[in-house]
Amino acid sequence: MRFFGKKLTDEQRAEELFSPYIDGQVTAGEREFLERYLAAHPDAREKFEILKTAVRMTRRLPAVKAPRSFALPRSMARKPSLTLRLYPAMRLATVAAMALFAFALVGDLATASRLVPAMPAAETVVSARLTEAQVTEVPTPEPFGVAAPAATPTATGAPTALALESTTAVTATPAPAPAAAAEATTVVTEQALADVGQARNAVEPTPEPGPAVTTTNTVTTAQQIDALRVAVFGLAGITVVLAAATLIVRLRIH
Amino acid sequence: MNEPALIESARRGDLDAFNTLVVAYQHQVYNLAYRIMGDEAAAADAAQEAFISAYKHMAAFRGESFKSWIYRIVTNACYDELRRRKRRPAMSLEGLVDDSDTEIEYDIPDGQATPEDRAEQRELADVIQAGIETLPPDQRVTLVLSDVQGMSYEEIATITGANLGTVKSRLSRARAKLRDYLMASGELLPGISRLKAEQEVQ
Repeated sequence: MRFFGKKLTDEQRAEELFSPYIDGQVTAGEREFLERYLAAHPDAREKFEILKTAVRMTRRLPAVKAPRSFALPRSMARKPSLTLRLYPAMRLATVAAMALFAFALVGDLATASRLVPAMPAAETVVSARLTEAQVTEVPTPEPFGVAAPAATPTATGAPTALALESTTAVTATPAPAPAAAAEATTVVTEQALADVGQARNAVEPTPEPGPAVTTTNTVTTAQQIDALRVAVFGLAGITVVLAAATLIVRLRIH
Repeated sequence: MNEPALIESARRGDLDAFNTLVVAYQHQVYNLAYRIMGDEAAAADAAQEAFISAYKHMAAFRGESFKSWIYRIVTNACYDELRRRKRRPAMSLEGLVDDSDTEIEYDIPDGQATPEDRAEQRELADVIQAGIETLPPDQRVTLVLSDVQGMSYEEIATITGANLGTVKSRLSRARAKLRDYLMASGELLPGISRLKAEQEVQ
C-alpha cells in the first residue's frame, strides 16, 4: 500500500488505520487487514489500546463554560441593506401595477366591444365627406386581445362599410383604380377625423340630429380609447420592469 | 428555538434574533476556541470576533448548518491568531501575572463524583489540553473538532476546507502524537487502569 507516494510497511499501514478504525471509517478490506494484524502482533495491539484510551480521555474532556456573554450590544445593530428594506415595497408595487394593468386591459376590451355595434351609424355621415385621398393605410392601434382586421379590399367599386374597432368607421368611396383599392384598408387618419367634425357641423342645422350625435360620440369615445390604450401600454411596461426588479432582488436575498 | 426563523430575521439585520443564536452557541464556540488556543483571553477574543464577523456577514449565510458556519468562522479566527503568534512570538503578559486564583470553569456534572474525582478530572483535563497545544495548528483543529466537539469527518472537512483524506490523515497523526505525549507524561497509566476497571464492571 502507498501512502502519499511512499510504500508503507504493514506496521505503518496498521498504525495509519488505528484512528479511522476507532471511528468506523475503514473499508471492509482495511478492517480485515487490521484485525488480522493486531491478532498476530501483541505489541501493536497494546499500542492500539493505548491510542483508544487516549481518544476516550480526550472525548471525556469537560466542556469549558464561556466566561461571559458574547451577545452583541445594541450599538452594533446594523440597518438592513437598502435592497432588503425596499423589497416589501417593490413586491407591493408589482402587485398593484399588475392589478391596475388587468383593470385597464379589461376596460379597454369592454369599451372596444361596446363600440363595434355603434359603427354603422357613423359610417353614413362620414362616408360623404371622405375623398379617396383621405383613405390611407395608416394602421390603427388595436385593442388587446382583438385580432387586427384583415385588409379589406374595395375592388368591387361598391361602397363598402368597414367597422373600425378602435376609432371610427368609414366607408371608402369607390376606388377608381381597382388595384389600389384592393390594397386599401380603410382607416381614418387624423385629417379624416377632422373632416368628421366638419361633417358633424354640416349636419347640425338639419332637424335630424341622429347621425351627427352618433359621430360626435364615436370620436370622443375613440379619444378615450386611445388614452386608455396608452395607459394599458404604460402599465404593462411598468409591471414588467417592477416584476423583473423584484425578481432580481428576491434572488439576491435568497 | 426556531433556528431557521431566527437566521432569517438575523439576515435582515435583527440583532435580537442574532443574539438568541449567540446565546445558543456561545458555550460551544468558546469551548472550541479555548481548546484550540489554550488560554481564556485568546479564546474569548476569538469567540467575540467570530460572532461580530458572523453578524456582519449574515447576508452571505446560505442555508447550510449555522453551527458549521460559526465553527468555521471561529476556527479561522483561531488560525489567524496562531499564525500571528508564530510570526511575532511575544512574551505573554498573562504569564507574568499570578493567575493561580483564576480557574477555568469546567462544566463537570456533579453526579456522584467526589471532590477528589473532580480534582483528578481537572488535572487530567489540563494535561490533555497541554498535549493538544503541542500539536501543529492543522492537526490541533482537526483533533479538537473530532474528539472534543464530536464532529464527523465530513463536517470537519466542511469547516476546515480540507478533503476527507486530509482530515483522516491529520486526525491519525494528531491522535498518535497526543498518545505519545500522554504516555511520556505518565498520565495514561491511571487512565488505562481506570478504563480497564470500568470495562470489567461492564
